[in-house]
Amino acid sequence: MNKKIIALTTDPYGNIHGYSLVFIRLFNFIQKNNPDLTVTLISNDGVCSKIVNNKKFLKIKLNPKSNLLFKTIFLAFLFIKNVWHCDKGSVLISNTEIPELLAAFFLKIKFKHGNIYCIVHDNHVRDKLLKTKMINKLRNFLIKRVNNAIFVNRYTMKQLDSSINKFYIGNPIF
Amino acid sequence: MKKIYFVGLPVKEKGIEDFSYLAGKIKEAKFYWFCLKLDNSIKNKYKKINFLVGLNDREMKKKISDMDLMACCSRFEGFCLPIAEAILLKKPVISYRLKEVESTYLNNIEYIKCFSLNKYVRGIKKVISNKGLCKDAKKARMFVINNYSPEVVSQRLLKIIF
Repeated sequence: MNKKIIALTTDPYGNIHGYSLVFIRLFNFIQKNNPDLTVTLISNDGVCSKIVNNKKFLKIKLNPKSNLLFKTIFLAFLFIKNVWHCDKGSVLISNTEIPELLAAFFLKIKFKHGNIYCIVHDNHVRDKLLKTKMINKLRNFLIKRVNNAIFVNRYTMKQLDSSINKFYIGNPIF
Repeated sequence: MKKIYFVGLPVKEKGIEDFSYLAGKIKEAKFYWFCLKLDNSIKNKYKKINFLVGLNDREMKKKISDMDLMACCSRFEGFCLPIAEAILLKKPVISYRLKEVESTYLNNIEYIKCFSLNKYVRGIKKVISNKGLCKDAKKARMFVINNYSPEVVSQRLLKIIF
């Protein structure tokens, strides 16, 4: 049976974020080097997906000028809508921005529990703003709900509590 | 004149203030910051830094191959991609001893006690005067290739999920 991967990531509009670019490049690499796998990557139409420019990947058009909360909820909704019809035996891998984590959390209804993973880069709270702290708490909550976390560095892996399934892959350098 | 560089968003979290401080203290070197976009306000604020803006991958590699050292003053990192890119181009790297960076690159780069600017200045001066503090570039490059090449990482991922 053909193995299928669905990968979800937010793609920033203003500047390149290493986390998005590496995520998209990783699945671009996997798709091009594993003909026995079907890889579907879904993101919004930000700067990183333009750099990789894989025409087989699905880009969701958003208005970059929309309100952040609206963009977050709308993108999560569109992720769910696009993934819902996919084969439930597929493996779903999300990056760790809120839209894809929210989508992964809700898609647990459809996908087998063991088939949903998220890739975690770091767990920093980068400033003292209440908004940043709340986003961090929500992110950690959603990572716990997704329950299968794949880490790119061992230090962050040790920091998260061991009630979740933790795996290590390192960070691919292209 | 030696050339010292960093690649990233020109923001405080990426260490631009510390980088600018180093540029002011170390007269034996020129300091370069690669970024995609730059506001005039940033350019005017950090006049000691030479900004190289909007280069493509090929142009950037060419410029970096001409550099002597990468100084990462970043305060928050998951893995710091520019460090790996510098290692692959056999450039020596100095960074603050952030736990994430140390767990990623182990002893293949030089570390400075977190946010100690005086130690950073001394560390850079040692490297550019060839008086020590310089890891084996070939060994570091092999470390990155063996641990973080796309082939290795993708195989690890596929092993986990299937």
